[in-house]
Amino acid sequence: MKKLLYILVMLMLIILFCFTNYVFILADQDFSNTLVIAENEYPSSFDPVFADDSAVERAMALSYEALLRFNPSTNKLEPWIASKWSVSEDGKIYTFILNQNITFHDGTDLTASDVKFTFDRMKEINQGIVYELNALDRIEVVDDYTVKFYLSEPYIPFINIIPKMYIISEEGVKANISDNDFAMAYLANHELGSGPYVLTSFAPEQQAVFSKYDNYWKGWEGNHVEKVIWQYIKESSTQRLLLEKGDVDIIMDPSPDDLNVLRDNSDIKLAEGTTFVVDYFHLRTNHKPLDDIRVRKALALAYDYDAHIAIVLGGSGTQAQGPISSSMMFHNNTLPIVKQDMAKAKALLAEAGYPNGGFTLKLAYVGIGEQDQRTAVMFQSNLAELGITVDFMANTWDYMFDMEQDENSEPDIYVEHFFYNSADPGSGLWDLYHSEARGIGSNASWYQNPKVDELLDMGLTEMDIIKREMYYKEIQKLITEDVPSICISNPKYIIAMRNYVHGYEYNPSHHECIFAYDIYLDGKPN
Amino acid sequence: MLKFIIRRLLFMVFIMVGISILLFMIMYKLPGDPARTVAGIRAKPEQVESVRRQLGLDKPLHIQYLTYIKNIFKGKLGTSVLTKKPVASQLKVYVPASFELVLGAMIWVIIFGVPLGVFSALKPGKLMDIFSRFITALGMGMPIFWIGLIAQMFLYGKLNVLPFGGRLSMGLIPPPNITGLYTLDALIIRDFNLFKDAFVHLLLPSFILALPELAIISRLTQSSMMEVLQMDYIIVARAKGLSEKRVVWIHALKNAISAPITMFSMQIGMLLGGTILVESIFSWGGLGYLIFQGILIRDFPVVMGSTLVITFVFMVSNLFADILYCYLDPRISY
Repeated sequence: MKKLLYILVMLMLIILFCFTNYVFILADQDFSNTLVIAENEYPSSFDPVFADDSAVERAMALSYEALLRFNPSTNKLEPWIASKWSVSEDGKIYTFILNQNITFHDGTDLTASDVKFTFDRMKEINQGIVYELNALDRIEVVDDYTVKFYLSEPYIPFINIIPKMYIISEEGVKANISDNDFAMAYLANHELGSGPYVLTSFAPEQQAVFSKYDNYWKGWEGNHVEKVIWQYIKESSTQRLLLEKGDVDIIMDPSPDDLNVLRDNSDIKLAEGTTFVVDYFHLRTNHKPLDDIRVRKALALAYDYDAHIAIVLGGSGTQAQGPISSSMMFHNNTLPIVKQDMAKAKALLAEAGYPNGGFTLKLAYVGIGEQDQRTAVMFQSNLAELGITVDFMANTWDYMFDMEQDENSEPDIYVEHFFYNSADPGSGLWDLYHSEARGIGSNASWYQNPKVDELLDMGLTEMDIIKREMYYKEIQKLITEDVPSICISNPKYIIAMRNYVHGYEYNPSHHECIFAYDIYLDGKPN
Repeated sequence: MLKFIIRRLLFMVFIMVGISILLFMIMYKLPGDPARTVAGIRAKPEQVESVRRQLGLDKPLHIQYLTYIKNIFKGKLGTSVLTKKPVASQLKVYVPASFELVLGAMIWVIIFGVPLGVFSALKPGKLMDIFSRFITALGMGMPIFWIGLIAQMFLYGKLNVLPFGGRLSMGLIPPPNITGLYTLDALIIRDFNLFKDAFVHLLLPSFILALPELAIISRLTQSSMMEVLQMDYIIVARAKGLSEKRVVWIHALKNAISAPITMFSMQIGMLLGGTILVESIFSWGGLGYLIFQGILIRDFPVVMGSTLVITFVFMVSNLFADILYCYLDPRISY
């Protein structure tokens, strides 16, 4: 018995010894110029091919660079690796002149050959972001610092996807290929970019450490953070705790329920921005009774949009005005904003032959997120007032996508969020509402309107920006009238940070990216 | 005995084959399209088809299965559809991470669970028994994620005596992957600061993981100890003048421990597969979350590889328990 007690006391002593050491270890490190970010999702790869995944693009924003970048304030394109660019009159040839003093982290120079290699590699891998390159026919290296892109047909949104195409070191890739894998296995935990920060350590689901690249071509004069640590923390409550204690500088996933508490904390500030994301209920226009426009309109009038903003988005968002986000190019701000009106909804249903509802709709959503569950429940209770029963189908996203692409699938309503890749709505709207996108794109409503099709096609090839604006405003008007989708909201993107973090600006085209080079820490305690 | 072990090992091969077939069928029947997942949400149909061919998903199910089994014999468990890394190399990181957590939990269970059961059996209704009941109520009654979050909030948030989670402090570089267990690897390279850091990070997650097991084992030890302590041979032992310590810890416990050992060996596999909540709360990066994520995105090679590893560990721990029985109870022979 005494022995046992002795062992227990010894164990406690060891634990206590370790506790003091824990504090010591933390104190031993200098974090004064280190940006520590808490995030719930780690990048599955550091391969630019997968930059369509926002977790991967977050890593790209530190270690890689693209030819161009979207300015966060104006949403306009600005030079990055390319110092200049031009488009031929027929819209089929894009010429980029590169900056000449850029080196990759592996020490090689970034030249036009690397640019060509990056795009050719993407096409060969044929996964991830490559779906954006369908119009690209070939690339020509004119000289070391000039590169030309030839399109098979004019495709105006092409230039807007260039900022998502991060340039990779040709030599680096070739040196790390195994089993003809294009170095993809190597890139699972290494990077081969030219950006301001080098990946120095990566433990999936735990942390990624980036240190400054001494030979970065823009130099290190002025205020810049020298080290960036991504700490992967799944629980938003834990993220909040760490931020409140000052152990992390930025949290990427504050829960909507925590926003008010964070706002009240004088050491913490919130950074908000309107995203290019739109939340929808896509209504199957080929299903009865949703093939009747009056029923679709009744459903749109039944939803409580204000409650959605308050409960689902925690107040951080605005009601959608039409099918694209209000912060995007060509947004039609003359469209009506629908408000909940049960009387009108009932009248429309009666007109359509359903005075007391009396039918059942199947609603599909991705079953992991709390937001979608809340949305589904709210819609269910709203429609119950009209006598309409809503049955739920919770799915994984890939299964949901399969169902959306199947003409005869069961669900009548899909809860969806669409991420427009850039401020230009051209390719996104085509994907959502063109009749040819049924079964292959995101046209979950199975919507078809020849006039909309025609305008969507013209918008992709029209060089005159005034005409494009006219087309897209008309498209939004037609879609709003036809109600293939109930356009719910434009959520805001919110992250929380300590007061001493400066220089962050939300960039909707590079959603969730933190360009740490632009950030500085003023007075961060060690 | 040797025959028994060989027989069991052969039996294990059949079970592994059975499990792998079952898993293959389940993954095949699951809704969704893995080729679509890999190709990306907005990939064109021809890109999805090309990925399907690359992954061999266009072939009949039995061909896919045979190819998989053939590759296992070559030491290949396939390539993760998410990370594009060989699954075997991923498991080399994730399995030791979970194993370290489970090992920590097992130590908590052995150090506290068994003595707690013995003490509460010796003096029912006294302090130790009440404490044991409290632990049981806590471990069995409270959801593990809730206790985990509260403990984290209190010990990290309020008292600042333990880290919030993770396997190492922020910015520390993990030791080279020798065994994959950070504590052990740090000791091997003789970096004692790193060892202490890894050890401190292990304390709370392993304790939280151990709590339900602690409850089970202590109650089980208590009930079988109470039964054994009533037996005649214990009275004889006492009558012969053996010290109470010897009677309880050697004679009684040896006979009472078989039931907890059975339970314990079964729990090892459970622990390994059931770490997801603890891993999620404490950002541990282990097998549980890997499987969970694998299922969500239909990362079939990862799910398959991880499940086979867990099955293997489960069977080995059961075999180990059977061998231990022989040692503890000479009447048992195989």
